[in-house]
Amino acid sequence: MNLSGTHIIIVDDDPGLLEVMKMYLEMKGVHTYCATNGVQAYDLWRKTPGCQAIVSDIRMPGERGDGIHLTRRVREMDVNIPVVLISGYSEGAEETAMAAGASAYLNKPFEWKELEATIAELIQQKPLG
Amino acid sequence: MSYIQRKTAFLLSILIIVVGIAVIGFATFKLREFSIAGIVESEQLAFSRAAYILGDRVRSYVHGLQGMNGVYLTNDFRPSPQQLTKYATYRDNFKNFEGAFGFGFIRRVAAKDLQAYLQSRRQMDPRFNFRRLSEKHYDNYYIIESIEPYDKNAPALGLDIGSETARREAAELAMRTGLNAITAPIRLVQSPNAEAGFLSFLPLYSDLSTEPTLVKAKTQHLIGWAYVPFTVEGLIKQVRQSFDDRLVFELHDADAGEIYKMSAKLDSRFHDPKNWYEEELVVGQRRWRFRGAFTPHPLIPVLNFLGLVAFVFLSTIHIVWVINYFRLKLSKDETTKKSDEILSWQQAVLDGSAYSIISTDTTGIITTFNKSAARILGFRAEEMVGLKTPGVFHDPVEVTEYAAVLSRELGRTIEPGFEAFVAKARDYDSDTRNWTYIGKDGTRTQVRLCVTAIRDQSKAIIGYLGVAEDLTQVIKLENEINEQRLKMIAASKMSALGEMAAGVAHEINNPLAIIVSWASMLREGIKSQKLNLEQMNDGIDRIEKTAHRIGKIIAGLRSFSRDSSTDSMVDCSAEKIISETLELCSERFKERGISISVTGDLHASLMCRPVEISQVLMNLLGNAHDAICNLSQKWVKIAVRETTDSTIFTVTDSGTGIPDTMKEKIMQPFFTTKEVGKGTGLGLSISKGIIDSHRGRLFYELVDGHTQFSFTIPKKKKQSA
Repeated sequence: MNLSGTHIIIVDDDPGLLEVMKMYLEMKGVHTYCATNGVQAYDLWRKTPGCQAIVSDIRMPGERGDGIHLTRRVREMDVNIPVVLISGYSEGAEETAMAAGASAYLNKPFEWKELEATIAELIQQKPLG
Repeated sequence: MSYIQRKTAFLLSILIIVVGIAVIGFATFKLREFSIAGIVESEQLAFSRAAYILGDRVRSYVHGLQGMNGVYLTNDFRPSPQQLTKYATYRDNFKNFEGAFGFGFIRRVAAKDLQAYLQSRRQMDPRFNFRRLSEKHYDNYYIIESIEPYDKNAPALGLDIGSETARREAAELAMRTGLNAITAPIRLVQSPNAEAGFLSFLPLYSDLSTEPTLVKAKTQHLIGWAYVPFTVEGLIKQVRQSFDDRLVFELHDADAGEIYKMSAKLDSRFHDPKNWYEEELVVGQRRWRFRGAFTPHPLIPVLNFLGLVAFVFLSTIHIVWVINYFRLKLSKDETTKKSDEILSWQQAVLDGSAYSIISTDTTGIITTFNKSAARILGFRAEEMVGLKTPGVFHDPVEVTEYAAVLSRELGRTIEPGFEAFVAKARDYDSDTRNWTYIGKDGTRTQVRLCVTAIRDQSKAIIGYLGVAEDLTQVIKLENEINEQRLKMIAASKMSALGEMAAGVAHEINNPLAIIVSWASMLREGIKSQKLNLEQMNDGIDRIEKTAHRIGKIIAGLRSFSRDSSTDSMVDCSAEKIISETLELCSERFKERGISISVTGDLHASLMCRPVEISQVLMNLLGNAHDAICNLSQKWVKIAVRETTDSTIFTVTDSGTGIPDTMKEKIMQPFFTTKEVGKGTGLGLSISKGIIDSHRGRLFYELVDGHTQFSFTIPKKKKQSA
């Protein structure tokens, strides 16, 4: 379970959380790419071919700025890339996230160990078929 | 009063007026008649007196005739002219016999003796001149032998009056009867122009001692006649002075026709023979008819006028009196009927009223006690009116307390009793406060009693009126409403909280995630020694700061959920209210991609209960959120504007307004357009209640095609220096 050397896009509209996530992941040797909404994240993903996973908040401002939209759009282009959605609003969020094509869903506040393990596991999985 | 009664009264008054006028007319007519009768009576008397005077004057000539006969008798029937003159002188030439020309003597001379007589007579009196009035032949001549005074009667001396029928007949009548006799009207020789003259005869006999009454003896013994000639003008000239000035008269000889007729201006009454007085006078054995009438009495027109004036005056008084009487009677009837109506109406109002209505006189004795009073108190009107005071159904403790309050307030001692109920009403016209009525069976009833002073037209107090509302139902209802309202507010809050839950969870979970992240990082950093001290300190600071952020959110939630209606008004800035509100709900908007902008005078400060205002703002934002979350354009603008007297908050969203059919209803409780389970329909009505309690206004407008809700909070009035 070592994420060192991986490339991950992190998305959250709360700058405080985005900052600590970036610091934590970089401390673990991860190359992070930060976005504060889904639209920005999608553009970032399109410009970053080596990106191995996306970790995104669900509720973010903008008409198509939320994590659900982001997941759908990413899935249209790439069915394999791991997308982990996280949200503080638990009710029905997981179902929505999974239906949109998310690889995994975590409730805020999440355990970093769990998040690291989830991302690592998803990255190491061979693409299906 | 009905039409029939009015008509009857009208006819009756007309009848009374007509009868009254008739009576007055009759009375004044009678009075006039009576007065005229008096005049007539006096006229009657005056006429009779005139007739008497006339007759008496003629008859009085007999005295002169007797005197003349006396002279003949005493001188052996042959007095000398000198003797006669002497006698006449003695009799003052008969001046006292007014109207008479003089007195003389006529001798009967047989035809055979005529020449001898004439001769002797001429010798005796040279003035004697025998003449006749006709050539008729008679056995006897009746010759005027003497007449005194001669001057006035010269044509008569020597005249044979027997030669003329009227004279002869009268003389012979006197002879036969022995009584005075007068001729029919004749023309006198002394006054040939006078229409009516008379000779009056009184016979003289030589001897009447034997059988004097026999006509034969009289004829045989006749010497002659004393006689007096007079004209009616002369006679009347004398008597006229003694007559009433207004008397107009005629004198007729019954056998020979008119003697005298007075010409005078006669009024209509003279055409009516009834108005003529008539009397028959027998003078000198002739029947004279004396007719007279009176020219109008000068008083009669006056009487007529006075009668008319009296009639008009009395009639007017009568008419005025009758009209006034009936008008008074009508208006009195009308007034009585009106007051009856008013009384019935009053009774109906009193009995129909749901309020207890009790009136008293000035001393407190009950004068009115209506049905509602009886129902509330259990006393019957009969056992209260005129007997008791309101003290019997009041709580003495309350009365004593209120008397003490009033004593302080009015600055004089108010005795605990009836005075406590009316003291203020007397000074300020009415006094309204809550009291406890104690019924006959001890039931206590809360009432709101308004005591009013009843004043007459001169503003003097004549009693007091107490109108009391039974508050039992009102209090019950008020309690129910309060309870309901509290429930509604609570429900609304729960609903709002439920709607917030999602956002709040995220609001809290996000900072929790930050805290957890920092904690994890610190742990990893310590373990791997990759973090320096500064970085670790920074992490701890971040944890602390984020924990405070959570604390603030929770504090906001707590203050929002508790009952804030009893909070005191405090000074608070608009910015603080808005930011605290947004802190609780911004996540919901963010989730739906709705942008929120805040503009305007954010530093405006207002006196309010901030939590309540925040609740209103939250409600308006929530409504905006629900209305626009599915539109393509999603924005909400909050603006604050200050005017001189209030602070205005507006919440505008990108929606296109509220349909006209709903505009009226949006402020009503339980009105909602949201799907079942999403809204209570209480938000706006409660918000309106809150703004009302701040004396502000909450209203909806369509501004530039967008939905806009505004509310105003009035500024505290500045204390003038």
